[in-house]
Amino acid sequence: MFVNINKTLLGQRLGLAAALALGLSACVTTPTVGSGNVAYGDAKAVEQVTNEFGSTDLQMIAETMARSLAQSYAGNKVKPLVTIAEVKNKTSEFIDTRAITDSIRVQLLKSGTFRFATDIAGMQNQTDELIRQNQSGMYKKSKTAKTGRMEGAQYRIEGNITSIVKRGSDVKDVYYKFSLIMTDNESGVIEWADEKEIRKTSKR
Amino acid sequence: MNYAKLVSSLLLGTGLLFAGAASAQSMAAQIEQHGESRYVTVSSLMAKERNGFMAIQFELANSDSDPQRAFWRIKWLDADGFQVWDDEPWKPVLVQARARQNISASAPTPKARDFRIQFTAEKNWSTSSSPANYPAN
Repeated sequence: MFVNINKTLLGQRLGLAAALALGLSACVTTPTVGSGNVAYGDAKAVEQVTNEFGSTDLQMIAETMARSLAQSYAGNKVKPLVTIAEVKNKTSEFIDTRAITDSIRVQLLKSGTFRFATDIAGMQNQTDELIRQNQSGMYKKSKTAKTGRMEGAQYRIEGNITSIVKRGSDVKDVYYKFSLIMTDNESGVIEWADEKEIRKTSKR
Repeated sequence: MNYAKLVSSLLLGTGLLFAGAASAQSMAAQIEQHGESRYVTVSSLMAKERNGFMAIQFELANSDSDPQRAFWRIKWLDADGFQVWDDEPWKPVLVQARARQNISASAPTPKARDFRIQFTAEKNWSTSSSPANYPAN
């Protein structure tokens, strides 16, 4: 009899727990706002929406170039100081080449193989900050970043991206070639070069 | 794993990753296959150190009479198995009919001391697991 009472109590408790779990699960919601028409995707997925230049192309180019460059200079005891010059877009598409070189720079800095000097695009901000610290009269002289101490890059990285587009009756073929070189600023010698080719074909 | 049966070789340059003789099983341990590929398989794998960076090369073999697409990326790990670099983008590759294709990759950082090849083919025995947003299956 004692056992039976315990079984009944146990059953009641289990039933209560199950009901609670069911109630709780019904209340659980994902921490999102919106009607559900928007979804986050995988930023590293292969993008095949159209055959124009896309995120996968950008990522593959940046990765290939950064790895090649990093490995070429990995043995150096002193990290070379480089700057990024322009990557010319010679394709018929709009391509933000700055996004590619930004990714290359990030990867090289993270790899610990290169240092980067302020490039032309960042020069205005750099000089504005030096002027503000040195000429506004608001900073302690001992704590200001001094002028005339910027380091000139030993090398510059520049390149171009070209494309060849062919259209058949039912096929569009796009071939991209991204070329990058690194030149010694003092000697003018090209010390490193690499390129990445991509072919994309779509049926019309 | 089935692809282990198809392995032709596994050569490791420095012994950095594995001690002793290489085997199909040790190669299989380096590969994370998403789905069971119908035609494209990883048939060999080599790894060595170059200028302090790990460099790997693996071969994809297509057993079909048509070109086949596959996707790969590498997960770089330190000696303790911690991931030392962000997830790489998936890379598409087209392997020609009845052909073998080498793929080379180098580690993004000298901290990388181990790796896993993540691999999937467009045509699997089961459902497709290609990492494309819009797979062309």
